[in-house]
Amino acid sequence: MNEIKLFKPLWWVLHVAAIFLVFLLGHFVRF
Amino acid sequence: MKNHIKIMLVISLFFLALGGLGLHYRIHSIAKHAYAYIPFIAGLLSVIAIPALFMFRKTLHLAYILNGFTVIIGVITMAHFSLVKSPILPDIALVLVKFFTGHAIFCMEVFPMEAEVKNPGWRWIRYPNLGFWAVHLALLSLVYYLGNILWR
Repeated sequence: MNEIKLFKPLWWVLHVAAIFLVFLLGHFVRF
Repeated sequence: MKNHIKIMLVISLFFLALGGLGLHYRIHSIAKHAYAYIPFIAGLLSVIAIPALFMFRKTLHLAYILNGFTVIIGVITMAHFSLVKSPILPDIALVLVKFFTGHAIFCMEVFPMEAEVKNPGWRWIRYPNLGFWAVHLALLSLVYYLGNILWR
């Protein structure tokens, strides 16, 4: 599965953005 | 035949997502709750973009990733809803159908149909194996939980 090796900075950008967004999701979703 | 089965699976993914979008749209009104935007946006993505992206080999990985993460967000938020409001475990089971349908399409396209399924060993936790999704579900649940309890 060589095609899925991500360019390193993109890997970091994706992870930081995803963690930030999911953290915000958890913070603002109040049922 | 393989192409026919693939198209049938993409259609089932489309209708599954359409059903999910419709259900959420009826239950959680955008006018009433801001959180209703989450299933609305994820639903639109799942109805329009994901089945289309699954149709092309070039966008197969993007489709697989988007499908997996929309399911993870669905599982986490519905588990949260189950804990604080009313249990909706059957709905979580339904969103898992979407995940495994996407996984089936992905496997059909990427691996030879006649090949034996290999045991990936520790690489089970690496993309595109199921362990990758298990790890991401666990870690994103933790991030969501921390977001929920910190700085309130």
